[in-house]
Amino acid sequence: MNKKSLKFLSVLLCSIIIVATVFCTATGTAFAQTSYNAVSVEQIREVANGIIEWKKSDVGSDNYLINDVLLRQAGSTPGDWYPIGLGRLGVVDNQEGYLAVINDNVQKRYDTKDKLDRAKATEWHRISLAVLACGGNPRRMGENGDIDLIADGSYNRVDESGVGILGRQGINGFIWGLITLDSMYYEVPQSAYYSRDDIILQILKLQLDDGGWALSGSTSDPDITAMTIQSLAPYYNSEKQYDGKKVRSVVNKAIDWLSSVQLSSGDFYSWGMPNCESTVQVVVALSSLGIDIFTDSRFIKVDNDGKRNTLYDGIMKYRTALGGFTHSYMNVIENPSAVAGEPNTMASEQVLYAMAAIIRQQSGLRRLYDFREEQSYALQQQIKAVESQIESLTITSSIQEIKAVYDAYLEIEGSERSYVKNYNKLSELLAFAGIDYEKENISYNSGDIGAVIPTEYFTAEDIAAVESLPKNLTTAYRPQVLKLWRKLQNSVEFDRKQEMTILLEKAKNEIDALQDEIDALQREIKEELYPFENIGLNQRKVVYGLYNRYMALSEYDRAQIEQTDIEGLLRCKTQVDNLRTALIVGIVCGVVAVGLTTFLILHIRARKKKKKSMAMQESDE
Amino acid sequence: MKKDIVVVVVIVFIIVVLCCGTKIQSVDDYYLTHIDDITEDSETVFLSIECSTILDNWNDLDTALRYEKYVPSNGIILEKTEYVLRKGDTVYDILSRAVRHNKIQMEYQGANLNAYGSVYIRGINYLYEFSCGPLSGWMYTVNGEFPNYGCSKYKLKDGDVIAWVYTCDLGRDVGCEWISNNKGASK
Repeated sequence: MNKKSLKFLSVLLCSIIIVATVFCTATGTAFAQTSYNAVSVEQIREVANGIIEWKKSDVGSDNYLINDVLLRQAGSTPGDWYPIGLGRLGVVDNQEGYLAVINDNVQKRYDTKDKLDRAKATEWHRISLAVLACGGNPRRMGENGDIDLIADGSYNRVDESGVGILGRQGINGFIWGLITLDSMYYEVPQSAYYSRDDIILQILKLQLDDGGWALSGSTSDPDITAMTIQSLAPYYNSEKQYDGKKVRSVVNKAIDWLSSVQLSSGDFYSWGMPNCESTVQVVVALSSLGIDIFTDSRFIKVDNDGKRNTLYDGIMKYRTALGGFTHSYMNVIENPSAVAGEPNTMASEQVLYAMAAIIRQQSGLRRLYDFREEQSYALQQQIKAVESQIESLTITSSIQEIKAVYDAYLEIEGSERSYVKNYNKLSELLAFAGIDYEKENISYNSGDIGAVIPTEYFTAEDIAAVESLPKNLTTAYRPQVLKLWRKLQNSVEFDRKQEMTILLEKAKNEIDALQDEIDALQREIKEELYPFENIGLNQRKVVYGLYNRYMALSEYDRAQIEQTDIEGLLRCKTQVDNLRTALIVGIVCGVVAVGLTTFLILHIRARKKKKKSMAMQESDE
Repeated sequence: MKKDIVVVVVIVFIIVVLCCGTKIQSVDDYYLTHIDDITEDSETVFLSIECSTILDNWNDLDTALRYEKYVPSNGIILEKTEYVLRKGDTVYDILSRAVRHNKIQMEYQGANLNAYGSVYIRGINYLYEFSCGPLSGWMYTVNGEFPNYGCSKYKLKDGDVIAWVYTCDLGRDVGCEWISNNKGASK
């Protein structure tokens, strides 16, 4: 074969592939449109509202979902993911309360040796995302605003000796580290331990042969695969090569794998059973790529009854009558206390943000984890125009036409190009037409953009709230005091600002002291009062010391101590009380016994003496 | 003479009472202080805590934890011990009592037990999830089976045998099959 015919063959082959691709996409779309399973944004919002209402009843709130009960969990999985869901849905709730409490919690955890956690970088990631979702700034946390959760949790996540530990907990550390970095398109400084590319490379390196990812082993897992896609979504349109691979081809392979393991009921199977959360993660992944889950034929499956099931149907399967969602309908081991089909906090919090992801995709808003300011109308129109230009291109388009569309694409700012949904097609045509296409050049912001600390006004109601704080505070007032404190810190000057600062600081310190006392009591009860068999009268002082401290707490604060410890304390108190009663009774009995014995002896002696003297008298006579 | 006999009887009675111990308790007090005593008719369960998988993965262990007090040389943190089963007890309740009784450090997540139902055990004896590699953490078995839900949801019955085991390989190294076998399998 000569050079010319080889070239011809390659062109022919390429044409076939391109035609096949374009044709398949076209039929795919046509097919999908006929099976369009329309669900309106309003309906999706209703589902989200159902979850919020269920969760409100779960935390006993008749007003905001972020109430004191939920705020007690700020900094943990349910305590953070609900605020993320609410924020991304644009639901106005007690976001200020969350920011006030999490700020204080982060400071307290940073005061410990391991800060947020020794091994889990995802603690930083989840809290960062929740802070952003509530309108706060994760780079300015803590009392003095000097805690940077973004740097500490992602590019500078190192141990005491300076070794990178972003991946100590496995692939999740890298996935969520990248999601967090891209939450505001934060810039990574030159001096950072990890560059963006380091993290991306780590993730790509872990792809399994079947196309997906897993925590371990050689079989992919839908959850991890979907989360990985979520983290790579901003790079889908990038032409950068990582070890000879582009993110796009890696992600396409993963999507194919996900499509191949989707169940006919629309949902996914993972961790031993078909479940809600795996399906949620796939929805978030596809939405982050701009894929419409209602029309993409790869994710619409037909079940035995001939019913077409979308991912949305796959999630709705798990909706309960109460509005909350259940993890699964399957019980692996029979246990009457773990009923399958009951609403579950984790499944519900995940569906909540999945609904946010779908609504955002359907309404042209940013990806679930892209917290930058929403795109301007002009930018949205620019992107739409480029998309329709790409749509109209075919393999018969001239090189000039393709080049013109590409130029229009490049007109879009680098950090916004990932929102062009059909760039995939353009890049194939560019390759086919032999047009040189640049490497993606994305600009990242300095990291402080979007971090506007609001200027607030400390109102008359706020002042009244400070003044009406009771003399004897309990930890129940913590969220309220922290919220007022935060507002005061951000407030413009006013006459009584100093006075308010002193009052609130005092209240804040008192509550901190109470919390310390509660923690100390729990610790000391464990240290001093176990094992129970060793509790004797010599421990009476210790037991009573703890008991009096316990009784000195308010009823609310007493209830913060774990029931087992309260039981242990009361049991020890009962024990020493009983031993003491026994001792007193013993002493009294002993005294009585001695007294009686003495009396008896004296009595007998006296009688003997009397007898003797009588006998002597008799003998005398 | 008669009076003397009465006094002697009283003294003897007092001495007998003193010798037998004078635990004068109300029924409630008695119940509270003897609630965990194992008697012939008390229902009981067994609990053990071990981390021997760490011994085979020593290099993955957080260097700060490479001491006998965290990882005993035989891997056993608590030998199989019998505990009284109270009505409604879950796996968490027994663990909670056992670690206190034996002064073993334990940290859990799930602050409000009643409202949220499920407790997650983060660390026992200072060994936490991810302390020994990315696939490490605590799991529990009841009668050899690995339940797939939180330990505060598992209600126990008389004679159950609970084992808390530390895995360094997502359960595979401790014989848990449902995670590794079913994961990702479709249809």
